[in-house]
This record gives sequence, structure tokens and C-alpha cells, in this order.
Amino acid sequence: MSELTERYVGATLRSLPDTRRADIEAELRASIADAIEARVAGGAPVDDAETEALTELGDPDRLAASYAGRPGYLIGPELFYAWRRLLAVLLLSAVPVTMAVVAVAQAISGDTVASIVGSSVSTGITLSVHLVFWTTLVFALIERSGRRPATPEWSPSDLPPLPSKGTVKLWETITTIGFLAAAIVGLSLFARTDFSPVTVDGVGIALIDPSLWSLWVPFFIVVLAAEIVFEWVKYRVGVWTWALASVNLALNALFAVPAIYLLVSGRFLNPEFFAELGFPEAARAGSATMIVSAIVVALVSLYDVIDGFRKARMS
Amino acid sequence: MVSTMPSEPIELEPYLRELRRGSVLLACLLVLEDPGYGYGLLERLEGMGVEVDANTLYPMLRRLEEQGLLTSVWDTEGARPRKYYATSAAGSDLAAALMSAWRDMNRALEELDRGDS
Repeated sequence: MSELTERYVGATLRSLPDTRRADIEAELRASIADAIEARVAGGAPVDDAETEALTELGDPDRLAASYAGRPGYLIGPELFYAWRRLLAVLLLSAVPVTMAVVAVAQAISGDTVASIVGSSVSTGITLSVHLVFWTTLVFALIERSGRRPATPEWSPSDLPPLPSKGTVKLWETITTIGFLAAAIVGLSLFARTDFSPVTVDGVGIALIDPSLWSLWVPFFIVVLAAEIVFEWVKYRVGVWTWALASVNLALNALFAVPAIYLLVSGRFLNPEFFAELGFPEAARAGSATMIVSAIVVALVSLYDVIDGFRKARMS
Repeated sequence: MVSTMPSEPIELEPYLRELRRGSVLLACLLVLEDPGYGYGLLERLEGMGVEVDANTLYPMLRRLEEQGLLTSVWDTEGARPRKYYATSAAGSDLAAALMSAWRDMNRALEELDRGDS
């Protein structure tokens, strides 16, 4: 046996289980020797014959995988779609929510803006990498276990409804969740003194009244977080239902009623902020700015509530 | 509208490989009614016009053995030890069933080819 054949046999056996190695080795050696012998008998030089025989057997890793019955792919077609669906669900739900939670937690603990944005983004990236890695690992292991998780048989009744006005679209869900997450971050940032571009004697003046941290800012953050969950549930349900429209009404009311009350009574925005900008009237109770803002909030919420019920009726 | 793609010669090999994929197993079961060892079997199949790669055939023999469709004995008498495979009773039954399906398929394709489907 020449060195080349030895190396080929070694490379093939390397990844095979001990119990089968000896038998496969003996057979493989015999097969290679036979192939070389046949070529030499046909008039080829020994070295060429060996090279040719080994070339024909091909990549030893592939041969070993074939002997071991291992698939040459990470996740096969049977599991691929389940893997992709699960990953989409995890990435679209866990990542934005976690990023928002991190941002809020940091804002509350009084970190600088740069550090808030930095940790939120890096947490998002780290979490995404973890989710992709572990999900893929679990699926690859299932693929190799030879067993299949009991996935229910697909039947035509599993088909999603035809797209209609009442269908919840994925891009809408993503956009809304992104918007809500941004609102949470924005709310926690604008109610902080160190984020404001407006400063007096080096001390920042927040746009939103910082005294609201005692109750209303956390309250709005919780409501917005609940709306993110709601958006996700709505996407999973797939269409607007009366129950969803009712929950939508409740969430909108929870947000809009206190917001309108705070705006109109002049408690939402920080008067100092506007005083510093030269519009001290703007943040006062009953000012035109506040009334207009309150009306905008009311109209947007009203539209959202009516739209929900309208789509529930149509679907 | 008729496609005006420049007509390149059709690459036949991938289609042939697809067509052969299922037949190699059947050919093995049939040819091993008369026992044989790895390389010898490869030559016998090639001699009959059944094209098969060594790296497909050798692992397949083991798989069929594990499934009880082939039996094997080591022959240590000759120039080098060789593992001889032979079709088992279960293998023969499977071969008969597959062969009958093969004939049905062949008949259907012939009819379609003649155009009197």
C-alpha cells in the first residue's frame, strides 16, 4: 500500500464510528487494491493507476458521510420551512422587544444616550446571532437524530385566508412594531435631561416633563410594550377579529385618554424647555399647541380604533 | 411567443443521473443473486452497461446489508480478503416487486412514446 492510499483510507475512516471502522477499512482497502490492480493489468503505471482509482472514489469526507448515512446538508427540505418560520417569529418578536426593554432599563438607570443606543443595538445583534445559532443547531441535531418531531400533517384547512382588507400583513406588523419600539425609546429619551440639546448652565432640559417618571412615563412605556405584544398576536391570528378590535380599542384608550389629559392640562411637556426656546406659552395648560397636539392624538387613536372594527367586519 | 433563446446543446448527464438514480439499487439486487464483492460488482455492472460510481456503490452495499436485503461473508482465502455480498430472500422479494413496477413504468412510457396513450 502506498502512502497516498494510506492517507485516503485514513481520511475516510477518521469520522466513522469505531464499531464499523475495521470492517469498512478492510473492504475499502481491498476495493482500492482491486481497482489499482485492474488498471495496472490494463497497462497503466502503478502510480497513475493509484491516482486514478482514488480520484474516482472522490472526496473522502463525502465517502465517509455516505458510509455513515449522514446527510450532506445542515437542515434538509423536511425541516427547512419549520426552521425558517420559527426563526422569523423569534427574530421579529424577541429582538425588537428586548432592544426596547434594554433601552428603557438603561434610560431609567440614568445612562448617557450614546451608551443607551450602543447597548440596545449591541444587545439586538448579540441576541440575533444567538437566536440564529441555537435554533439552527437544534434543527441540525433533529435532522441528524433520524427522528422527526411530531409536526401535524398539513391539510388544506391550514391555508391562510385570501388576502383581504382584514388580513394582517407582515410588513405592516414589522413597521408598527418598529414604530412602537422607537416610541418607547423616544419617550424614555426625551424625558431625560442629558439627552436634550437645550441646556442651561450645562444642565439639560428635557422636552417631556421629567416629573412624569414617577408614574406616567413608565405607564406609557408599559402600554406601548403591550401594543407591541398585541401587534404580534394580531399577526399570528392573521386577520382582524372582533376580539382583536376590542383589545385595540382598550389599548388605544389606555394610551390616548391619559395622553390627552396630560397634554391639555399642560403637564406633558416641560415648560422650562419651551421657555428656554422662547415660546413659554406653548407648553402651558390650554395653549394652542397643546390643544392641537391633543386633537391629533385623539384623531389618530380614533382612526386606529375604527379601522380595527372596520377590518374585523370585513374579514 | 416562441422563446428565442440561443439553442445550446442540452446537457444530458444530469438527466441521465436522475433517471439512473433508482435503478442502481435494483440492478444490485438482481446481479447479486450471484454473490460478488465490491470492485468485482462494479466491473460486472459496468460490463452490463449499468453506470454506477464506486463511491455510490460501496456505501449502498452496506446500507442494503443493514436493511437485510443483502447478506455478506468475508472470504479470506484469496489474494486479499474480500467481502462477498449476496441478495437475501427479502432482497429477492423486493427485487421482484421493483422489477414489476419497472416493467409497468416502461410499458407506460413506451405507449406514451408511440403516442397512443
